[in-house]
Amino acid sequence: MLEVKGLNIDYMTLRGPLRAVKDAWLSVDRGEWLSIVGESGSGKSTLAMSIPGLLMPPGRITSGSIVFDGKELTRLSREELRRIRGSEIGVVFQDPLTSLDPLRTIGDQIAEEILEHDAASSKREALEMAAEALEAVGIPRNRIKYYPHQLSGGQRQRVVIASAIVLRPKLLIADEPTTALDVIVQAKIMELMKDLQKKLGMAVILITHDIALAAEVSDRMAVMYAAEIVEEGPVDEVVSRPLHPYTEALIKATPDLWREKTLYSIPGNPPDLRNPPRGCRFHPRCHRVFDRCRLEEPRRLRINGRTVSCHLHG
Amino acid sequence: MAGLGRYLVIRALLIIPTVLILYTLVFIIMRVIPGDPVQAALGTRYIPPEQLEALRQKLGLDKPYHVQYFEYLAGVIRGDFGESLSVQGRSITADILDKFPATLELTIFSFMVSVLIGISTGIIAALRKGTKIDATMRIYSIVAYTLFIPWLGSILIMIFSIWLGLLPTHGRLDPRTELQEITGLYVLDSILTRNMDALKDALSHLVLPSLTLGIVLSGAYTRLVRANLSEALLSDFVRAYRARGVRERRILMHAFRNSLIPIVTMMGLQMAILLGGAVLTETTFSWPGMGRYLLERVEARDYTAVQGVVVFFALIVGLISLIVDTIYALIDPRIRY
Repeated sequence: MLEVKGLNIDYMTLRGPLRAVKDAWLSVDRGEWLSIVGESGSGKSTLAMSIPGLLMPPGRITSGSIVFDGKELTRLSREELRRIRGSEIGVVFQDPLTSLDPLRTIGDQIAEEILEHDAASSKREALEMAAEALEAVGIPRNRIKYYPHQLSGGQRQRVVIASAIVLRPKLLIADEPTTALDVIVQAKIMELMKDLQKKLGMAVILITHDIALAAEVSDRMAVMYAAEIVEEGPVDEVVSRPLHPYTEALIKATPDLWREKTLYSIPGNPPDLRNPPRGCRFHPRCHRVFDRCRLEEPRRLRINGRTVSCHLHG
Repeated sequence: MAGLGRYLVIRALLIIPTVLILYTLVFIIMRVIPGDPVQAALGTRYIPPEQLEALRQKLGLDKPYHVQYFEYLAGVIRGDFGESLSVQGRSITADILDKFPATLELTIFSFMVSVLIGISTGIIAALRKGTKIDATMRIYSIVAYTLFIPWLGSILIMIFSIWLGLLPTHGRLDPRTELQEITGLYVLDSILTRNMDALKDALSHLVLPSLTLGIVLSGAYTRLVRANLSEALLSDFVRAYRARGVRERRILMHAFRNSLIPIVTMMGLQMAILLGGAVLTETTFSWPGMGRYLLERVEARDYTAVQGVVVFFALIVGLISLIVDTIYALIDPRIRY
């Protein structure tokens, strides 16, 4: 249903273009849950936001293709993209405290979205649909006249989710939807999203830095490092048998309550994207580095339905 | 909104100490600066000291300061702003009622001009931030802000009145135009009496003064709207609106509403300043309003007139800040009093 092919995204900076996403390939089937994990600055949000055309200038797609439901999104006009956003692709952002307009009731905001997509014939009907969407995410319908500041952070994120799913999109993109929330609320929100995915049969792209969370909820997982997708595959296989040393390191760096050991961290820092290392971008931090890694960029390899970019595998 | 009602009552009561402080200050200042109403009226003419003393006695200036202070205050509480010290038998209340409509009318029109120009240039600048159009709007705002009112006024008079002969140079109404006064706001009065000639005449007299004052005041709005709107346009909820597929035009509307609080604050301040009398504009266009009146009476050392105008002005400022507070609560549901 969604095919991203050879996507390159540049940020125009005063010191020249900065490639935030380099040669990205992804595919998501109907009803499938893909998580994109990586450290901050790895380009995972940029990649996800480029799909519904939400890149903020100076970011722009320089080449590649995004095919969604048979449509080439990179060639659509602004108005055509607008019509897809909200109706066919829903988006949930990181901070529920700031992603609602503080001056308007939550009902008005959801109803406006419905009316902007001509999905209701009157404001009244739109408000009724909004109330139903709120109920679907566990907010009592009488809160429809509440302003965002009258709700807690978790409730607000539920409202944002309600606004993202009210028009039954085929794809939901969630950019770190629980990072700003506490752990208990986080679990409930993820549960809700999983639930809605099944009920509505929609595909989900979850952006997260939390590989444990991704492992729990996803069907597939993509790992990004320094603007590149280094590994992609079914989540169980990626987690139990990572092919890329970076994925391996990320899993090792995940804190584990049950095993008492000192926290592992990957040595070094992610590279400066204006001046990435030669060869494999991960080689300066890789514990399995060898000569070829320093000279030659690894190609994307397909191994039993998985992809990886690492010289260890050919 | 019940909280708002209570809040407004408290705010209204707070106007009292404000008025008292201002009255006290102006009472002291008027008596500290050299000269008094009698000397100011006589100028350099010689009058025997005993006659001078009789005149002062007649005006009540011989009384001790604290008696003068409280006598006047008692009058104000009864709603009486006293009698002029420089124009015999003239009531200050009547003067204010006579001059204030002129100022109010000029204020309303210049306010509309400044808000219209300022907000539209600000919105354009915010939407085209970083482009040449934005730079042009910013230059406009600085130039407008620094223009000297009498200079701009004279240029406009020269072009539109003298060269093109389209508009009158001064005053509120042609002396030959007949108008039955009801409110003292000539535009309103001519509409009420269905007097089209007077309406045209009153409006044509308003064009240049309100344009002059409006342009100079608009510059500050351009900057303020540009700064606040461009910040709102970058906020997360705007991105979220976009993600929901809301049209850009509507998003702009919502973002503008979110940037409105500081703009309304400035509107209130400007309105208050304008109502006190735009001295320079009124002087340039011989506009018979509060600004010119106050200037005349300060020169004449007309203590009661100056005190009256200041007390009246304090009341107006208090009223406007009440209105502004009410508007805040209407714009932003988070504001609770």
